[in-house]
Amino acid sequence: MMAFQTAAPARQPRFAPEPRQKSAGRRGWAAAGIMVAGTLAIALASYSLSLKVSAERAATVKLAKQNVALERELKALDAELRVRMRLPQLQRWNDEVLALQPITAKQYLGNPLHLAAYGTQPSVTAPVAAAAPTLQLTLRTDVATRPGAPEAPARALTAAVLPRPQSPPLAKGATVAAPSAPVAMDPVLVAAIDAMAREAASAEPAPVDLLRQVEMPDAPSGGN
Amino acid sequence: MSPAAARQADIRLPGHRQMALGVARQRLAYGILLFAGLVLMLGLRLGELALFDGPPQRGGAVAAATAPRAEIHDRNGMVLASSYEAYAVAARPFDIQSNKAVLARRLALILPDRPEAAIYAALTHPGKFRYLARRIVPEQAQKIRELGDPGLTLEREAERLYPNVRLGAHLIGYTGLDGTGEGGIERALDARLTDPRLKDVPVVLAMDARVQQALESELQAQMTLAEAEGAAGVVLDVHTGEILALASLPTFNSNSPGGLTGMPSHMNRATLGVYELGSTFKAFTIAMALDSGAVKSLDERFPTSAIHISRFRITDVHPKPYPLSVPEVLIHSSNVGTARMAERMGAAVQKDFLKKLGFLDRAPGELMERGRTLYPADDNWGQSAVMTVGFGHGIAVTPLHLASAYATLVNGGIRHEPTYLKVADGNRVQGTRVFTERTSMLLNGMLRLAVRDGTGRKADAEGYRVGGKTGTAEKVLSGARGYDRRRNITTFAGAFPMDNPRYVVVTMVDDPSKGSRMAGSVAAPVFKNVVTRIAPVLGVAPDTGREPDTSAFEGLYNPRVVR
Repeated sequence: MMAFQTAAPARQPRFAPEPRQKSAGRRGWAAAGIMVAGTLAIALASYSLSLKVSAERAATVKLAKQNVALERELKALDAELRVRMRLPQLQRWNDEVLALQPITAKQYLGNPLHLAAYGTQPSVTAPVAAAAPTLQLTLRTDVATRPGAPEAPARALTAAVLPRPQSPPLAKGATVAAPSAPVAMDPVLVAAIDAMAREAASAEPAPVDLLRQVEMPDAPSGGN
Repeated sequence: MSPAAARQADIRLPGHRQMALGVARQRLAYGILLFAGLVLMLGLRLGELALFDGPPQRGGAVAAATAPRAEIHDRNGMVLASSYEAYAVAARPFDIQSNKAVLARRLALILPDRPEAAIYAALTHPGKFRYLARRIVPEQAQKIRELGDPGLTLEREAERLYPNVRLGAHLIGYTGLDGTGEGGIERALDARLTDPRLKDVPVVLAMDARVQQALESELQAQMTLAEAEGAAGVVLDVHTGEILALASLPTFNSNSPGGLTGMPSHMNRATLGVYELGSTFKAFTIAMALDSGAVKSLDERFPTSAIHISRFRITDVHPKPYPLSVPEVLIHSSNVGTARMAERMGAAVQKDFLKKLGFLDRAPGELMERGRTLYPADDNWGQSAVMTVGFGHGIAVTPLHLASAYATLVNGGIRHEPTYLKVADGNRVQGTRVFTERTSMLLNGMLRLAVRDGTGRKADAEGYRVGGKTGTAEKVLSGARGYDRRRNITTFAGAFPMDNPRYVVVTMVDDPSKGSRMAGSVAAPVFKNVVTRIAPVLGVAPDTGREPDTSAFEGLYNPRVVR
């Protein structure tokens, strides 16, 4: 009530002279213009600023979402990998293809004296085995002699057991290693294992999805 | 209206009309301001929503990544159980709009594990709700969503994945459809695993997955070879009581355990099944006799002639024609010798030691599958019971009991409570002393001799200084009194390396039916294979040049002549 009553007399400046009133009006317009322009400028500036902030924020949220999605994917892939490399499966591969044996007491060399004693043994297997313990790998004969199997395993066996000849026979498609390559990295052997793995893969395709792989009953030969 | 108010309304003063107009105008102005404010607020909010897309949404996407159940790891950080997101698809038959036969065919294409007939039966079921499949992966869920039938419901479920499938299934356990633990560690530590504060902290078990794998695969191989009914095994750290591996065969798939808790595969033979483990007990009897002073000297001789007591007749399987010294009693596994020792020490001493070794309590450890041991009742623990318990008959314990007691025997005589959880290095618990250090040392030597020169020769893993004792016991006839002569439980309990024992391994094969049925030929080779495989993993180096000190037994036994 008071606001309306006091506002009314203020609108009528009765005793102001004419020219002064004119210039005051112009100044008033200019001030208003400046105010409007200033407000607009500030509004535009803060709008663009807040736009930028919101864009940044949206980007962060998107990134966080992406992070979560990736994390989930990572988890799934990790789980799949863990299922595929589960210990019973590794054991089955070892039983069927690699046939690696645990290290025997004789293969542990405690001191140089043992090494020297090891070297004097008449067996030709000794120096190779001592130099490269990874060559305990013994290949099964039935794999080597299976019809249709590449010749490589048999040759790999000789390569593993005998000292390396000057020019090792190479399997088809095997990459030629540098002459100084260690015995453990024998390309023939690697190619042989690759070939066998490929054969195994072609004989038994990988299960389609993770869950079926998990729930797949163990093959009778594997036991567990 | 009260009379005073009515009187007031009647009085009309000059200027009253102007005043009333002013009041009306004021109220109008307030109303306008209110509505303008509301509109302004809505406009501002709209502008904010349009320009700044609202306040940032926290938690939604991020919170979904945490699992409802903590992971289980082995001692080296290998994941044994983790949770992942899966879906369950269910049908509400009354709400199904499309042709049910066609829908069933389409669903059968998406869910290859479910036969079409079963799906059709669920879709036409007269009830309100029916599960079609559980544990389906997100891709399948998406395809089902794309079918677009309002009668199909997809529910999000947290599922448990056990990457190693059957490995250690009895130890790790499994979860039921509602996500609660129903066996093994999953059940025993259910509260800890579901604690929201500890969801991101995995439970670390004492188990070593590599050791577990070695134990299970070797037991499985022997079980298949001997056509046995079952097998069990335990690997224990003698200094901390940590259970590195605990196997029970046949086993099951933790990922799809089925509801068949009564099945033989769901019976934990290592902690729940109690067996008369026979001659493996003789080591304890000798230790008790030495410790209590019932047997003063190692060169005391015990005749091997049969003992007749009440209705029992105690004889040796392979009687020697001469009286046996203390080490020889163990080496040749003499029933008569140990019965005589037990007789000398008496029921009270025997019971006291058995109590301290934990044989009279339920199986130790955190699992809830804890077998109750069977032993003679107090009023029945007379002379004959003392003698038969002395060589391991008339008392039935779990393989875990046996492993724990062997650990006590070989580690210097101190009992540590077995645990399935990893013991941090600085967190070792003081054990309780059961045997003196001297007794423990003597028994270590004797156990080594029992492998080198006695019944356990096939357990002798070269270089690992293995010591242990075989045990062959006849199975109890079911539903009748007495023993089944044709069915055996074969056990080997031992430790390595005997010059400073670090691990105890117990292997048990239940009812081998092909080939030899004696522990020396069935359980002992498993022990040897297991030790050869796990020792390098556990950091025990073989050394053919070392042997535990057996000088105390010189001249008290005939060493086996090596050809």
